[in-house]
Amino acid sequence: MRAVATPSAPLIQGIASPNYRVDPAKFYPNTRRMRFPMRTGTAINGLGGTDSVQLRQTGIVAGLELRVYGTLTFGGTIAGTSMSTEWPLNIIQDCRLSANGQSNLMKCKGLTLRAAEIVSNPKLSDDGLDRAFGAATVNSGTLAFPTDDWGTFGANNLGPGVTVAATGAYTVDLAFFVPVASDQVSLIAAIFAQSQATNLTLEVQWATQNQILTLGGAATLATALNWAVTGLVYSIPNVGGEFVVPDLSMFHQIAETRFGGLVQGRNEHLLPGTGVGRRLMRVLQQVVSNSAPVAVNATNFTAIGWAYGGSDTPEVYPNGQEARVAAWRVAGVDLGARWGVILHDFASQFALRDLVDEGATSDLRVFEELVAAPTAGATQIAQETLFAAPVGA
Amino acid sequence: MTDQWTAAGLYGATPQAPSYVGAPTQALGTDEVGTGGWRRLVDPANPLVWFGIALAVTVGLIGVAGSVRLGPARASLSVGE
Repeated sequence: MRAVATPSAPLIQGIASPNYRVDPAKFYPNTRRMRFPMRTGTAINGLGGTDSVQLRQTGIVAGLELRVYGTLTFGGTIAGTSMSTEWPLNIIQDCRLSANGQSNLMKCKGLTLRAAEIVSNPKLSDDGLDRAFGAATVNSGTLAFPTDDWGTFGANNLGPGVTVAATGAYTVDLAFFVPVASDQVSLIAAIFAQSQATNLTLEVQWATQNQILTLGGAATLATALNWAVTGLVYSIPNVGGEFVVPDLSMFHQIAETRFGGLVQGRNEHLLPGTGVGRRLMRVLQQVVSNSAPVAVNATNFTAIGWAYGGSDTPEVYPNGQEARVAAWRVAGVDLGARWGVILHDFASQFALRDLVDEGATSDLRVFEELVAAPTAGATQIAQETLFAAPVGA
Repeated sequence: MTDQWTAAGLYGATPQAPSYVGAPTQALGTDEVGTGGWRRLVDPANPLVWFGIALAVTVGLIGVAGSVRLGPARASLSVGE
């Protein structure tokens, strides 16, 4: 008797799935965009705590909208109370997304999420929005959205490095976008979630109180912050009796690493986790001195660039100012002026041409030359990468 | 597939092996040998076998003959003589 083998279940992103056909041309006209709560507004687990949510197993997940809102209530005697330079965006100290066995598809701070969103969506702009920033009120380069509330109580506003003027309940409302797909149009690298076997977890580690503010000796703080997660999901349409999906052969990753010990002069940082099959889309870097961002300008940086191999240096900016201008040209937002974000962008203009193939660029690294040695100098480097779905992160 | 909407088209990524579209999983794990190779050539289910027999008869390579007698009646048949 002839035995008929049972075909092994087809795989999408390493997950056994019914018979789906990769057919972008049929998928786009027939899918339906859906938006629904993955986590309705819930009190966070306190500053310094961690919250997580298992996402719903439906459709193709292209992105997650994350909202953090509530109040910071200052009491007692406010003297000596000020917000740190991490406030407000780094209220998210670590946003981690794991999917289908790929741990840490996302692993970055809130500032990186905001900067990545601005870079990949040139429609977004912060120009003309007054924000309290240090001792001044500024209206560009804040990375603020008009929809943001960075802390408001009457006429008093919170912001990075701002001295808190009065006791009271300050309202806060921040929006972040977690880009699961590398591109919200083609949905490449979106996550296939239409399976019981899939496992999508979003975990957020909140900043500690000391990371976001310094509390005066006689001041008190009560936080009442909530978070909510909304999924941006596309249905899997049935066309001519077949389920069709877009190209899901890649994963999209934003992974952030911190390097310490920065010195005056040249600092080179070998990018971790590079390898064959991976393509670098962007690098977002921030240099901090005494925890405050170092502005990207000619006064602070004498060179910024990236290199690989022995000494191949494809791109170098002769000073920080030129790097800042180049970032503004791409993003339409002055990333470097206040938050000190250095941008190496290979994806925005023409990805097919510019992406860095990590298989052909061994010892890939970024470098910056500092005019002065920073105090407790460190740099946060976030790599935005595309990699083949079955390959480990 | 519209190439411009694939990872290869947009990002120059190496196209992935489509393990989920018509993958030849049937050949794996059968307990029967001989569904391929020379045995398939001589399988009666193969039309080439019958074409080959007809060809061989036509050129005289093979033949068959026989006769039947029932009393005075005699019938004979031959093919390929």
